[in-house]
Amino acid sequence: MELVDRYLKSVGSYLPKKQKDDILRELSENIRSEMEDQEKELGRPLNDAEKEAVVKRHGNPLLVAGRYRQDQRSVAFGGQWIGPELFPFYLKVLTFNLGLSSLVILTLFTGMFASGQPITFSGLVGAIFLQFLIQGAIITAIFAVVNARLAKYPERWDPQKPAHLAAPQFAEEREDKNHDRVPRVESATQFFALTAAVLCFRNLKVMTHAIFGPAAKFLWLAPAWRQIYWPLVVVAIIGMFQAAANFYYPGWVRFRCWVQMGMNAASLAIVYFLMQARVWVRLSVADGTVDIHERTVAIVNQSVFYTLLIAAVILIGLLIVDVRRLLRLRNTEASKPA
Amino acid sequence: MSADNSLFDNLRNELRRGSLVLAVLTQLRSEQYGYTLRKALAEHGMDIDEGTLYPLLRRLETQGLLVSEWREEEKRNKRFYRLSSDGKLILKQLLVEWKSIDASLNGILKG
Repeated sequence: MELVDRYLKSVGSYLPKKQKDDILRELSENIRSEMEDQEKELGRPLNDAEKEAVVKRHGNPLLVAGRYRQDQRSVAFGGQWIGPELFPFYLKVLTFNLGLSSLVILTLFTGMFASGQPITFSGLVGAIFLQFLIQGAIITAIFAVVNARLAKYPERWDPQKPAHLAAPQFAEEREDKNHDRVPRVESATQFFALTAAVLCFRNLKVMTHAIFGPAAKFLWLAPAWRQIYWPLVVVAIIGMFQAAANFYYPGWVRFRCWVQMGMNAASLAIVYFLMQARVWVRLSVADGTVDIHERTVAIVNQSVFYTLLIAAVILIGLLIVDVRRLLRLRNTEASKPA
Repeated sequence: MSADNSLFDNLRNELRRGSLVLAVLTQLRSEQYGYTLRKALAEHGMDIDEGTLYPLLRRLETQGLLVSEWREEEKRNKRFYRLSSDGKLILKQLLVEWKSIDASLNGILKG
């Protein structure tokens, strides 16, 4: 693929679908006009370095695409934490995470309500608010770090290997993703997300309260969760190590593929182990309300079972993607001239 | 020293950003496409990054200050921009404002 096409593709991956074609068409014409103009001046075709300089002058694809967006909202508190370029992605991640958490909490409360537990409106709002606070803070911190890096080093990008938006929920053409380089933004996000996950594992008791809300008074996590604690931490630390390595060596694409395949396989084994447990939540009280609580426990256990099942299916899908990616990498390397 | 330089760069960029819209609108009294506009501005000492200018043209068009159309020139399809009637009106007002700021600043500078 030609240099200009790669650049346009990279800008396009960050643009909203509606405007994408029109903007790319215009951008393409402007870049090519500039190149033709320089060729006329020099009286010869531009060499690779000169073409690269023209593309580089057009700016970091993420920042350029951000400037084209009509939505110029940002997160600012004192200084600007998350600029308009990252804001749409921040909003998507935040909405996805908070939506999922709200769904989990609502399922739990429905289970409690269905089994006759006393439910209060303030209890429900409190549990949701706590989740919003924790997740909002973590996600905002991750995006603020990425934003600060972008603002400090806007010129740090390689026109030969411009990054594409790689998160599966945003990628429009996942198959065509750049295979030569791991975007630094992706490595940094992975590192901070896994750090946050390890911190959450460390404070399992606090997290139990955050997830279960008032139900944490009579719900205990079954021993199976404690047994997977260290395997989970080890998988997360390996992921952090891989992300840190890829941040400094973005060209280690094959390394990332192998490590992520290993992590997904290990996660699948952990999920399989958890599924074998069959009981994931237990009662922590032994009084006259046991009957009511037991119904809640049964509903929660059933929800956990289906969640684990979905997690297993997703992990199998990711493993298939990993294998395909490795095969594609091998084929690409094999087809390169010696 | 480098902190001073970066402060100066920031302030200079802010100053230029403010006058950029005025320069673009003035230049688009006659029709041009993105690249020729950038060149024309550069020739007048107003160098603008492509990554800043092209999105700015879109924004000004969305705001109704510019109109554009795709047309073929030298066997290539290009998007040509020019001032809209609203744009002409706003430019007139902005130029009056600019001259007033210029006069005030000159007065301040002369002490």
